[in-house]
Amino acid sequence: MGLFARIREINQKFRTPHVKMTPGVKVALFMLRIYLLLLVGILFFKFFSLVAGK
Amino acid sequence: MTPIRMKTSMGLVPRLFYGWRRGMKWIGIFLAVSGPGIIVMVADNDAGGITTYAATGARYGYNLLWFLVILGPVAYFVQEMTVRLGAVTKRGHAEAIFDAFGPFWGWFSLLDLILTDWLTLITEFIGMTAALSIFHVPPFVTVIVVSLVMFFMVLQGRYWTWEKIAMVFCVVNLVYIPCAVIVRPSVSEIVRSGLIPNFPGGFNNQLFFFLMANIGTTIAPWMVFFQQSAVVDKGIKEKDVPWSKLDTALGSAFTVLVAGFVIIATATVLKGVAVDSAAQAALAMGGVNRWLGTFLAVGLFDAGFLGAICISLASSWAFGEVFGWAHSLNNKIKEAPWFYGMYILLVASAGVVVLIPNAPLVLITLFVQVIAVTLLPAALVFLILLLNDSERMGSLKNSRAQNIISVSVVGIIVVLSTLYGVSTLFPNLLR
Repeated sequence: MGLFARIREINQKFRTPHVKMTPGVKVALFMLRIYLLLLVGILFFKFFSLVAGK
Repeated sequence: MTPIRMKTSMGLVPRLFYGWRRGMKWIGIFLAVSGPGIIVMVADNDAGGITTYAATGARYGYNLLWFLVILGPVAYFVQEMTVRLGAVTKRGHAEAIFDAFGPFWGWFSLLDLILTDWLTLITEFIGMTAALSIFHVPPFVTVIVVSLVMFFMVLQGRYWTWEKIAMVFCVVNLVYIPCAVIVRPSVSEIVRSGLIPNFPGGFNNQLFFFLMANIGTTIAPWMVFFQQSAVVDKGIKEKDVPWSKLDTALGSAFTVLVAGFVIIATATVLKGVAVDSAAQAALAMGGVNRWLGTFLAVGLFDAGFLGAICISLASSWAFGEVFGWAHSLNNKIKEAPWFYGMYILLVASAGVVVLIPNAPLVLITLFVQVIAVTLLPAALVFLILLLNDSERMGSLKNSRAQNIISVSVVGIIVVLSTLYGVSTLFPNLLR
């Protein structure tokens, strides 16, 4: 089986999250997304600052 | 006669005999269960960790020893959660994230783990080659020999053997104790200035940077993945959890002890000297006392090696779990070719990078800290959420008290490690 077929199979296997989506879990996951977006934003800012030679 | 009355009517000698036998039985159980906790905690004092402690001792003397004492329990509270999760679910952390939170968070965690681990593995090789270069061993010889030893450690086909070899390297980590004894530090000075919380020179940006660096070296994302997978591979059961917690607690005490002795040694000899790497500290201390430099270099090599064997396994286990490959150290190479292939690929590629002339090794070392920061909060948040899943965890789910402690600890770690990562990107921000 090829790599991409295997990845599709994994995605299919774990398609449904099994943790109970309580409000606490939803808030935690939302905050995590925001946190990671901010962090990636900072990384990109640093990268482009370096490229621009600032 | 009832058993209770029999017991109370026993004489002193039989009671001592039964007490001794019970004690021996407990020790036997502990020795059988122990391993993952001690190894992960000692490996936490990896090459980067030793550099941080050496720099801390040289910059602030004994003054930040108290902070290490606090970090011990912090590491314990995080790691003991992986023990419970692994023992109950029989799954590693990567697979548990996929299962509980779906493919998005699963792939994010897995790929971030691989990148972080690979970059950290490079830093371990940097530490090992620097340590052995003090003994005039060329880097390519170090890389080749270390890689071969690492391959043979896993290819012998038993988790138990791998663990016992790793434990021997954990014992070598104690080399920092004679290091600190040789320099004859003032015990009263250590107690007076080191064990009472204080902020030398006031709470300024540089001190804050050092505190964050110490936290960054104490809690690393790979530790969470490694210990949970090791617990599963070892076959720890729910009834063994108290012993595994003891294993983790002893490991955290051990790691604080070793880190403390590194700080004491460098604080006594190198106070006021700017230390950029542990190898540089070993060279400087070798000028004071030949044995001192030798011990520090041996310790640095050992730290890098322990870090390398655990980090490379954490990644291979994680990939094996998610891709459904056979992924136990108890498997022969024919039974788990992908698992061992992944391991060999990681080790060999990291070793090769170190040998590339003019490779940006300093940049890689800094980049590790930044990438680790993107994974650590996610791994810790998932850990707490999984530990609160009462359907899966049953009686071993987090209690209210455990949640208060773990959420507080994780919250502080996330904030400080993020500031550490950001200050690595923007060095003038906090200095």
